[in-house]
Amino acid sequence: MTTEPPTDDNSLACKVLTFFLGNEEYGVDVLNVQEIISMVKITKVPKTPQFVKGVINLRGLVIPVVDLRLKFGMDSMGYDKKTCIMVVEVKRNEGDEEKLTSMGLVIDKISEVLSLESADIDPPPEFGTSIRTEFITGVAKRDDGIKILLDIHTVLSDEEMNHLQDVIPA
Amino acid sequence: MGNDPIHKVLDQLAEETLLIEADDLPTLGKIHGLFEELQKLAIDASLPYADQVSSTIGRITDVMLADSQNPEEDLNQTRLELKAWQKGLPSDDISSAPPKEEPSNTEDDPFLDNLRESTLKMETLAMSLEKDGGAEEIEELLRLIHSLKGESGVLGLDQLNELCHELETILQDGSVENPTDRLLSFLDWVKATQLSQGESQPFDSVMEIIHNGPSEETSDQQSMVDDYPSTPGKLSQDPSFYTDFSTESLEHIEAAEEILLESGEGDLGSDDINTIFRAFHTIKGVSSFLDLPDIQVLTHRAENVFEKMRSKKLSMSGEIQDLCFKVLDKVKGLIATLKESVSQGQLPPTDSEVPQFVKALDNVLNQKKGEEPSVSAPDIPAKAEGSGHKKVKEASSVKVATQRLDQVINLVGELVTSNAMISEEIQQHSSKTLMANVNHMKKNVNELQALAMSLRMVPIKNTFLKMSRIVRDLSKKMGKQIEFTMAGEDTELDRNMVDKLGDPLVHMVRNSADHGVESPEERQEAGKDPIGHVQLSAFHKGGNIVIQIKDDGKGIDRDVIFAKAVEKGLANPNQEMSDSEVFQMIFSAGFSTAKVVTDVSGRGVGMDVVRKNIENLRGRIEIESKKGEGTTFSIHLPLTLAIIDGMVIRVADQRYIVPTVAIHQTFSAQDQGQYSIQEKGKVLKFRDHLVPILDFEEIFGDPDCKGEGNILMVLGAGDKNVAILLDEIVTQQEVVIKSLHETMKNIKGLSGSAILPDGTVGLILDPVEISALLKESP
Repeated sequence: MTTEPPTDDNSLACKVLTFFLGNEEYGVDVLNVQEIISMVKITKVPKTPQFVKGVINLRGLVIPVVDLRLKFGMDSMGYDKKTCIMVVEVKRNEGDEEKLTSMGLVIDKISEVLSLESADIDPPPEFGTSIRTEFITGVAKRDDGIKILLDIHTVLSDEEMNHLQDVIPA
Repeated sequence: MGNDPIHKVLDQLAEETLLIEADDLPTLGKIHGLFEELQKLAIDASLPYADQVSSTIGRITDVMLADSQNPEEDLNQTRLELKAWQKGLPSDDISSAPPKEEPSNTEDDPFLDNLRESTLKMETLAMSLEKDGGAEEIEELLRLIHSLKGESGVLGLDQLNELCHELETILQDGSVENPTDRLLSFLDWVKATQLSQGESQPFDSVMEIIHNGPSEETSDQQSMVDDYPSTPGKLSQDPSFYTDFSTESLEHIEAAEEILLESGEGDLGSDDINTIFRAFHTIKGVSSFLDLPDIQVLTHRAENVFEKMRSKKLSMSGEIQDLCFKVLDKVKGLIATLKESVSQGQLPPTDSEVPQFVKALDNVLNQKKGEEPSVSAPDIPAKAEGSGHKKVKEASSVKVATQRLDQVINLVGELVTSNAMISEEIQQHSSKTLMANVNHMKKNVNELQALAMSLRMVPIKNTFLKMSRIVRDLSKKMGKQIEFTMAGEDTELDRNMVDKLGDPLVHMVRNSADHGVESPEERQEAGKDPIGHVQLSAFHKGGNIVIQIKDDGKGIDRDVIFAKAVEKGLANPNQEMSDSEVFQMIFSAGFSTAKVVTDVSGRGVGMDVVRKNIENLRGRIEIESKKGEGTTFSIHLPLTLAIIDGMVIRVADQRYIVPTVAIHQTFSAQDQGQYSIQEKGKVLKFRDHLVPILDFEEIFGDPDCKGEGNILMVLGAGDKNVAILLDEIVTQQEVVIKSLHETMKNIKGLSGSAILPDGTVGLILDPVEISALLKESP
């Protein structure tokens, strides 16, 4: 899978919503974030990959919820008061049309919205991160640490959602 | 602001410039003068385009003096400007590039939306015009075409504009008796070029058709000129042709006579008129081929008489009927003479009486409707106005984006849920006024929900109308006579369903027309009405909507199907199957018993797709057929895709929904005896069958799903049953179905999800898929 460059490829700023998964801080382009809701009861759906926790009701729309920690192979943590669900809009292909679909991500803690210039963003490192490079669009260096910028369309693409299905033991 | 004189000038200019040629000096001069007038008026009224008029005048002058480099382009430019000015815009707004014939195809294009609606309306009007149409249809058509002409003019769609103009002229002066074919050719062109539906003929052919009618018509008009050879000539064809012709013609004549006899003195039905028309038409055709001018001329005139009756310009009367009998007798006589001559190897001599008959028929043809040649026959009233014409007042409507509609429906659903939650809580706190108010709100909300659900419903009428066109075209193409009727076209369906029903219906209607209904000759031989019937009907039955396609064709031969199924290995030759089971085999992929594959059907790729489409709509399709009599296809669909009645159950800590239609019976697990068959799991004795039992671990392959197994529920899945083990039955609930995310859609055992009354999501079970799991398990 090819890495998609950050949406603004020149010195225009882009805004990124950052959040914590465990001790690592990640960021997602704010244009892709629809809303953030507090944790609700998730209905489990059988025969789905482990990182798909199930589905929830979002104002009449049923959307799948993915636990990013499990997706990235980290250990699962219990859900506490700070855990919330970030609803993102993911591009997917239906036939020859590109459609947007809403999905939820379980994240441990919301951080903030950052304005970044392309000067602040480094290309993804070849190694050293715990997640696959095709998910990362870049790394932002700030005084308070490094934020790993995610390409949400790749992380939650159809192929990824189906990926582990065959591997689950019957 | 005194704009009216300006618009008059503009209109004149538009008309003059429409088809002007660059070398037409007199008209150019006229246009030049008009432009000068326009310039004066525009300056006086301070209109935005006043200055541009002067440059246009300069341009026209150039063309007149042959100084223009590209006169065509200049004239085009002028036309564009005129259009803009007619709208009151300065012509700067128009790009100087030549206009595109097709506007961009965006979904929200109001012109295209209107166009879709109007073409459908025009098609319907054109077809009813053919059957029993009159002034009302023409008026409506003129209105629609006129609007379209105007719109296309403004948008720079010149070809469309010209075609509309021609059609308008033809319809207005009433010179064409049967404009339907021309209208349909025009509509096909519009659909192809503007709406990307189907293939288009070149513009010139369509214009030609509008002017002169479809090519068949033109050649008929030419054959009006007849010559009588005065001496008998040699047979131009093989004698056997003549003999066959005689025999067949006599049959046609007998059929015509029978109809006339049976109908008495009254008006003939359109079917009867058609039959007689066909009779004369066929005889005329062959007699022309065989060089038999007497018969040809006579039958041609008679054919014209019946053609007029078909288009309601002439009604049957006692006089005409008498004349018809005489004509038929005469033709019989001519045929008898023919037989004699042929046996002598010669063509028959000219019959001197024929001209008299021709004259009598001409008199009938020239008669105005309602006039009688003699006094004795009672006056036939002119076609009663408004007879059978329902002029339903069209309710005014508003266009709404479907996405917005869906959002409204979703939110209403949520409103109902929150309302339910509040009502629950309120029960604890018994302030009377509070409870009363909440109940009142609940009533409002429920009513709102019913209304929101109905927003998605559309009548099936439009879909049926499309079929009508298909049947007409097919019957013409295959030389069959098929009458198409509809019933219950106002029945409403969820709009999603209507879209998805289109293709299956088309396929089945084509099948009926192609394989079902026989040719008129075959039908007559079988003693049936040569005109076949195809009927589409829709009605509500038991919480479902049923759509039926019924034909009175040759029916489905059960034995042929069974044999084919055996041949394909789909059935055992010794297997006992009911008729309906055999008929269902038609839906298997690759199945077709058509001996000849026409380009319409017979390739065997249709019916299985049809069944799949219908199953996707959670429906089923049933076939009834009687050999020789006809076939009826019945499609059963749930009233709406959106709501099902379900039983909410709990297994472990999860809640699922089981569609109530699938539930046969429920037992407590302790009471019922469970019989165990080794290695195949548990089974239950239910109504003398053994029904396999599955628990949720087995269904979903996940040990976490397994419950305590207190209750057994027997579900029906197609013709098999399966029992599932669950913990608790929570409640019965009508739920709104929501589809799952793409990647979850293929999970076996689930057909979707629904929002439960407490706002959480419940998964809907699919009994058919669950029972299918049984085949897979070792």
